[in-house]
Amino acid sequence: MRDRKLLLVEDDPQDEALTLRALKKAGVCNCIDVVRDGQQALDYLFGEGEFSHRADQSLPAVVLLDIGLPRVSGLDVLARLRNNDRTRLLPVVVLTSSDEPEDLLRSYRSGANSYVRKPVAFAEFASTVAQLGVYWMATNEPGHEVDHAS
Amino acid sequence: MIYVAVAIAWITLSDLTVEFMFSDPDDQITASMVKGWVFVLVTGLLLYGLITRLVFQINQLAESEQALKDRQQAELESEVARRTAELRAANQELDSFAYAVSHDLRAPLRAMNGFSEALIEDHADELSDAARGHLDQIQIASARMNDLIDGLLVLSRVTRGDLDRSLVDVSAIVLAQIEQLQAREPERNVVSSIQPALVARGDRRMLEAALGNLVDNAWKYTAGACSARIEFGQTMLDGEPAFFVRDNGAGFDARHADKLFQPFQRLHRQDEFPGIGIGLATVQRVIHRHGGQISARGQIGAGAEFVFTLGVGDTGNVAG
Repeated sequence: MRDRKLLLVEDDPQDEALTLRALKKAGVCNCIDVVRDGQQALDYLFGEGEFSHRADQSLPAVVLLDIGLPRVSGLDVLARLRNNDRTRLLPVVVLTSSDEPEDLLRSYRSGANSYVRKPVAFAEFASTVAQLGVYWMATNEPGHEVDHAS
Repeated sequence: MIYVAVAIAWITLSDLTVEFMFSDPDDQITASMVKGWVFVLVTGLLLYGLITRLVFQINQLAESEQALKDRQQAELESEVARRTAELRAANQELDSFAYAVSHDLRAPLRAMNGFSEALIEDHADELSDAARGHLDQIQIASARMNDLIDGLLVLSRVTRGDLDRSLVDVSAIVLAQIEQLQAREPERNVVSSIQPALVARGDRRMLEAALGNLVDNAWKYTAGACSARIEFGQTMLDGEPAFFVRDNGAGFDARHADKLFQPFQRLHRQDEFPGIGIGLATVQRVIHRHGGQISARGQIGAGAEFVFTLGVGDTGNVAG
């Protein structure tokens, strides 16, 4: 297996710590990059701004994307990714506290591959994040890598 | 008056003038005729002028009245537009509030819950029983706060959107809710008496929320009753057809009945009947949104009864 990465886009440092903890416990480790707002996420994925000199310009296996992000919102990030040939097929999982039906619909309409609500209870949260990590990093066969290679 | 004086003067003077000017009787008759025609013509012209002026005045009056009406109408319309805009702004504010509640308040809660859980997981052997007890309290509190947030959201969401009235089988809603509760707590022995096939004109989603809450309450507060009984049926409230949900459970202190429908106000302690106090507030919102009213009767230890109308009146909110 290639050295695939998981990109976590999360502005809340405590949510970040809890998510990383859960992912590490699930054995998805040493391959998680974290960015903290929408603009940073776009720069990371398009190799621009502070990430223009990143040695490894390959795309992650999956992006875990919060909706309520500073600067550029999660949904705007998603729309930009879907409008770009390189990132069109990149798997994006919306991971949010919101259970507003409107957010759910808008996420799917903007091209999200999955929508997951962060449970408040920690045990549930940990198992949800662990499942996500294992599924998208090990089980799922992403299309964007094939598309990009061909 | 002026016209009459002028006319009399004209008739007398003109006759004299004619007699004075023409000596021949034939000429006198011709002159009289000419003067008669002139008189009729002048009178006619005067009358025409008078009537035209009157009509003009009447028109002016009508126009100014119309202008007044138009102005009032315009004022009314702008007032309505202003109020609508205000209402829309208030609704938007509520929406963004609900959004902040659902999204932003949950994050710190998850952190409190998560890190106390992490502490238990990672440092279990270093923690004394007292420390564990404190951490358990943090968990209980955060779970309760999560319930409160959920309750707030339910309250703000239930009456959001348009009221979509259709014929709703309310008996079926009540029955389904009781069956669901019975399935969840099969050990409970509750006798239910539901008047069958009662139909109401209302918003199905909202009515399900309201009736669901009333039945949930009846179920919850009859937990200690020796032979629990829940009734649903049709009655009258202030001369209007109404529905009732009645139980023979714990009831409530009628002195504090005004607090029943206020959000987060409870008439029972957590150790008696746990809850967050959002159910009846939700019910009342739904009933008011329908233009109906709700009233509660109860007594400690002697059950509670909730009676409500759905404000349709003329189309008959109860059929069958």
